[in-house]
Amino acid sequence: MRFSGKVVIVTGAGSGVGRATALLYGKEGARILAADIDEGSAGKTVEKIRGAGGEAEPFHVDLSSRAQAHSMVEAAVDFFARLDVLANVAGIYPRAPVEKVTEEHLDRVLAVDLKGPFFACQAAVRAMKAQGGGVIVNVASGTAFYGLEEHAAYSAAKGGLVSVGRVVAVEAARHGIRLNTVVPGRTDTPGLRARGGSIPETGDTVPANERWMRPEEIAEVIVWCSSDGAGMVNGALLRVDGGWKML
Amino acid sequence: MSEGTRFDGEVAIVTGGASGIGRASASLFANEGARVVIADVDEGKARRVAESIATAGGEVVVERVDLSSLSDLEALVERTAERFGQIDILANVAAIFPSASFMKTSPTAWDRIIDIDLKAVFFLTQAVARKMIEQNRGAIVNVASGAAFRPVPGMSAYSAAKGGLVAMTRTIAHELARYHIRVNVVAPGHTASETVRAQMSQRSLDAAADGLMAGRWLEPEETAEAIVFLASSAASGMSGAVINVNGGDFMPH
Repeated sequence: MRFSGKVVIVTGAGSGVGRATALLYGKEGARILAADIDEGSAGKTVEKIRGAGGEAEPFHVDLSSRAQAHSMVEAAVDFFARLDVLANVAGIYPRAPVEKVTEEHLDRVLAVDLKGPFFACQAAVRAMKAQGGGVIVNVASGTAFYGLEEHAAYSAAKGGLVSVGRVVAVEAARHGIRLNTVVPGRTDTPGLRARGGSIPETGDTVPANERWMRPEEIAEVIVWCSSDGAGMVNGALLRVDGGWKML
Repeated sequence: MSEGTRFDGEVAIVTGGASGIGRASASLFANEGARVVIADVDEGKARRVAESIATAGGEVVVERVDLSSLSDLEALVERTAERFGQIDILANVAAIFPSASFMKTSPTAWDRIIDIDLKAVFFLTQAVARKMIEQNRGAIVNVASGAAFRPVPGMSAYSAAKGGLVAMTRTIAHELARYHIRVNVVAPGHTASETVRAQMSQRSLDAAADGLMAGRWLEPEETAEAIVFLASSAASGMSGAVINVNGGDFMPH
């Protein structure tokens, strides 16, 4: 098991890519703080991890608050006495054509998708410096690189997250801390399904570049790039879109 | 997926498998249960690597291949398909990287670098893909270089080859997607391979390491880990992608 004895925070752990990521870290032996704004769904993820013999604690976090992002990192250290990996997976992605984006919409998306991970990184870097190393994985989105209609605020947040990640990677490298950014393409998550619209089948008979990604496929890349095997992968962008856009 | 069985029953061709990143990749594939074909121009060295893999319990064969010969490439693929009945993985690792300033690069030197580092990858991939298309599955990993993305003095022809490699990977990945074949790139930074160690003194290696983000050179095994990951089913969502393995020295988009 690649993460025996290691402590991992996963945000957005209550559903979709976050849940798949938490479950995979659990399988790999990590102790997990499963953070989500929906504590009930985080609790279900924790039950699954414990049911499989793993160790996890649920944590309620509203990432639009710097104080809560910091408390989340402190909670992981309180529960498990260290922090090896922070996986910033949580995100919101409300749709609106640019002329209908309200100030409230923009503020909310930037708060949850950019400010939250920013301050979570800040607290994690502090904790990881103190113990001599660690890994941060930010989950961005292909919308940081190509125009997806009705995602103006979201793409601004994700583009910002990509840029911030490079700076953190450079600043933290000397402290043994790595930061990588995973860039998913279209992914079949409960969040996207709840938004409506049609999501095609994701079975293996469909070519990867035509089907949507499964949350587990994003999780595999998050977990790999935070593993010891990827010890010299730092500041990297890892695109997981099946070859759909490739940019 | 437990350590040691990720590639059980699969067949992997590794070019440049006799040294450096190729050797490390061949060993790692074999450790994970793959049957490995070491394709290299240096047969003696390839045999020594094969012996050490076999001693560790791995299944491995050696094919002497001159990558500048298209008929050698065809023969490699035919013999591998005959021997094993399948080809699941191709790792295009072999490359030459002679240093010459742009102004002193001759047409002969250009041709040689392009032949080995770009053209051979193109046509070996084509030959292997014919088999993979029949199988309706496969994974190909091309090893590029940081030189594809940023200036490396003395490496103008090499950077053309590696930049071309990255560009063609995307188109090949797109064309082969319908056959469930994934094609990806690993772009390593400064790697202390045997060839590099033979060319540089420890003193100049150390001096250069001071300027690197991680304060040290990459070991071939660290790039091999990324190659093996991309070839594995854990990377089923990745195609046409580039993984940079450079400790954070530079961060292309």
